[in-house]
Amino acid sequence: MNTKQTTCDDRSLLAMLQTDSGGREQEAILKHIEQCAYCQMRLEELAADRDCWRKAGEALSASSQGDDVEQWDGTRSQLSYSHLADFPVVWTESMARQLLSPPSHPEMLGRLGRYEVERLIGAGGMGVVFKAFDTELHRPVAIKVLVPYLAGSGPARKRFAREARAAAAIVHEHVVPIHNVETERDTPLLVMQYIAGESLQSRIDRTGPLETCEILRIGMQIASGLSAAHQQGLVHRDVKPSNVLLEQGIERALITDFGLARATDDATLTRSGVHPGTPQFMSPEQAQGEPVDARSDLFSLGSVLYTMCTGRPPFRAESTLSVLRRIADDEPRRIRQLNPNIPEWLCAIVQKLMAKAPADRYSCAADVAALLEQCLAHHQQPEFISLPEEAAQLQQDSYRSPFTRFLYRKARSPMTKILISTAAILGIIAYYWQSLPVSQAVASLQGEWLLVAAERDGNPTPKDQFFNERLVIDGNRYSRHQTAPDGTEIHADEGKLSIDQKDPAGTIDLKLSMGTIHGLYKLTGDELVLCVTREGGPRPDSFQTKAGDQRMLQTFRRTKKPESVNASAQTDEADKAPDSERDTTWAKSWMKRIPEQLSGHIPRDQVQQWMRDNGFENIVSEDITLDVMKRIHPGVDEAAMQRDGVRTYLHGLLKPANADDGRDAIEVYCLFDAADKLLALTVGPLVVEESGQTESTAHSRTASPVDDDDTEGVGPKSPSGDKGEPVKS
Amino acid sequence: MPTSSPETRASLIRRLQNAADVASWDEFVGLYGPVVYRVARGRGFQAADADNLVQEVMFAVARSVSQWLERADRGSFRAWLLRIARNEAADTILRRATRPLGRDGEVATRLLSELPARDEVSSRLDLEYERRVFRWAAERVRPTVAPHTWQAFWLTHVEGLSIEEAAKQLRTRPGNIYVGRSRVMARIKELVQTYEDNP
Repeated sequence: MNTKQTTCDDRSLLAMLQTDSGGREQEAILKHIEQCAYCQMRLEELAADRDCWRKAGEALSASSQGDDVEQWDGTRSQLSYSHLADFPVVWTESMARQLLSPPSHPEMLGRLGRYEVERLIGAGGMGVVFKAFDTELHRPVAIKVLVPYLAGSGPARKRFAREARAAAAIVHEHVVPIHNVETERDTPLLVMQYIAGESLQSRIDRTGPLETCEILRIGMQIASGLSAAHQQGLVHRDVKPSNVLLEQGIERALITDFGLARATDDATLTRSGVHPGTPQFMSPEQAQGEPVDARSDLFSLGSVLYTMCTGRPPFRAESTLSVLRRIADDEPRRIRQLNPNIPEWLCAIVQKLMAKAPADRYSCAADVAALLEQCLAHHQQPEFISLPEEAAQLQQDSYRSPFTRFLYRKARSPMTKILISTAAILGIIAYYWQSLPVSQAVASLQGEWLLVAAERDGNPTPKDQFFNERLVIDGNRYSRHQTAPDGTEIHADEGKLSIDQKDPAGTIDLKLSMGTIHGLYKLTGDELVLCVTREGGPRPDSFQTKAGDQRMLQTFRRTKKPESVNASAQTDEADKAPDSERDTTWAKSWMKRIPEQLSGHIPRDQVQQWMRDNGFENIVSEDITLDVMKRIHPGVDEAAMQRDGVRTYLHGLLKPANADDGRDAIEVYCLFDAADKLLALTVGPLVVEESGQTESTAHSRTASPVDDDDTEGVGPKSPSGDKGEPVKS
Repeated sequence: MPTSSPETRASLIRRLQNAADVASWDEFVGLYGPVVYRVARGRGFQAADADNLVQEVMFAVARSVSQWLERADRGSFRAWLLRIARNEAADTILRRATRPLGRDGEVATRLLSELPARDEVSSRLDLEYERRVFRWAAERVRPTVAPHTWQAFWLTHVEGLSIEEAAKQLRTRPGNIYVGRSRVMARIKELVQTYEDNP
């Protein structure tokens, strides 16, 4: 190139574009370019056309300015792509055949060494499973083969060999036995006993929730199998319904797939930050990538029990990440909300297994197996064998009054958490209601109703799409609320309640944007009772709810909106409203008056009516056990209760007319015998859990037929205060 | 590099005989995933929803790979991936947007009235994809040129400095800026073209 060049020349410009001398360009050319506007332009044109320059500028400035839209996060994408692993790979027999040598019999799929492979029976994360026949020992076997793309990978081979060694070391009636391991082959394989039957997962898919007796039996068997593994220092790490096989006929449960199991002292395999387990059944510590021990399997066992109880996994969300987040932060929905047939004590056991902190769970699987065994014995022969002490104790601990339970549940949901300090109080006011003429009843309803997945014009709700869906009735409008997996609260105003008020009972259709819920309603006094069929059923034919049936009953109560309470309280309520002063006079007078009014062996209807007439709210009637009863009514005559077959109790709340603070409220618990007659009564100030205070006075009186004189005793603590756990924040 | 799940990849590997096709898939997921994500976020999707949407699209695309394999006249794998992912993403985004649920208190009807036209979403996807390809190319060019050369391009073309200002900042003569910026641009263009022409 000529150093004296001063003319415009595309070739020299192109040559410059194609080299990179780090800024040491030829002096003369540079000088020319600096002076020649044509060459400046030409240089640009030669590099790229105008459009290309513009696009590059836009693309890069968008990325450099941090962007209006959040950047796609690589780590999250890694995580969420693993979600795809939830979809089973469709392995066909012809694909699987490629792993095998040609068969010696035409009806067979192929051959693996001395095993004649009959068919493909499953595909997991790391391998495919064949049913085969051992030609030397003449027995059917299941062979797991590491998939070829992983067979070339060192870590995968190691993991496979580890699974083989781990599983082979466990000999237990509830662990699938390993016959043979070949890790030196091109495609490593694991030979197991062939179990004819189905997995627990397919059983649940097929039949829905299991019977309590089955749950206890299978749970006990899984626990004892896990115990054997744990004694060898092995954590399964992937306990889930699809890894539990149920043997045909006797339905013996066997744990399989120790794919993730690793010796707890195996330090050579460090955590890689990925979550190899099935997220839905992971423990919180696994979900957070923390080290796990045997207690992690106990959490997963709890999740499996939950799934057997309810027919669905405890934590569901749209993406793996959301599932992981829910495992770490959320409480699953109460089992009995989904399946009222499950006894409270079993729920309590599952709850303890699923404690977020490992230290709050049982200490070992053997204990769980033993406990479940005793529970099973009790369940099968309740007359002769009492519930194990441990389960009975748990049940008591988990008990909360309906009101405090309501607060507790509210406090756990992310949206209300922030609001709780004020909402606890507002919530109470919102529930304040008074006697209104029937004509106004509909216009002033208030209540919330868990829908979850109601019928949508006959189409079942797409699985896993909506969560925590509620129908909220406020005034005469109803709206649908739901909490998205990321905690966002979404709601849609759906319409106006239309009820023919001349007709105290009839049919009702709630039109939602997703479809219509068909139900029955009845208006009784101050309540609207709705009954619908859940999960895609037809309109119910009566208000009877049968155990295990999909019907939902919900009572909505008349209420006044908070704003109007103050305005109308003085006028409307002046004659019958309790003392409006916020000193203790009001409470004291009621504490005295209630036991006076509710004296004697009076029927439940009458008590309920009296409570309604006197402005009680949150009136709930529930079946109750002796243990819980003893806690609420410390002074009650236990022998009399046992003799009279205590069955239900009634809970109600009474608040001053212009209350702006829930702590002024009075809680009443009434206990009824099998004949629905009043047996005992406990009156005490309501303790709002948020306050962290425990009120310590409660009047208790037993009205048992034997001990008829009013023994007014002072209970040690008010019921809710005694049992209330502090709300987790 | 973002990857699809081992299972999706494995099943693809079994079906795709050509190793280059597998590489195309990996590269495609890395490039197109963010595109779908950004368009979805731009449409008001929550992060988790957008994330999920990406997965749905990728899964749907992976599932239909066999259709491409069955075609006698199958063209380039990447071109096909791009076309099918574009349709799938536009469909998914629109389908979700019509879900009759208010977001953050908005009412269903409002979302419905905002229902974006399919063309709009498609062109948004194309634009984002194009930008993504440019960024991808720029990321590859940057380490291959001298830092000053890169800076000459970046300061003048992305940050908008004049030639003189850039020269001053980089303590070099303006001529070097003219040459440097065009040199970078030429390489980016070359890479983008190679990518587009040789799928």
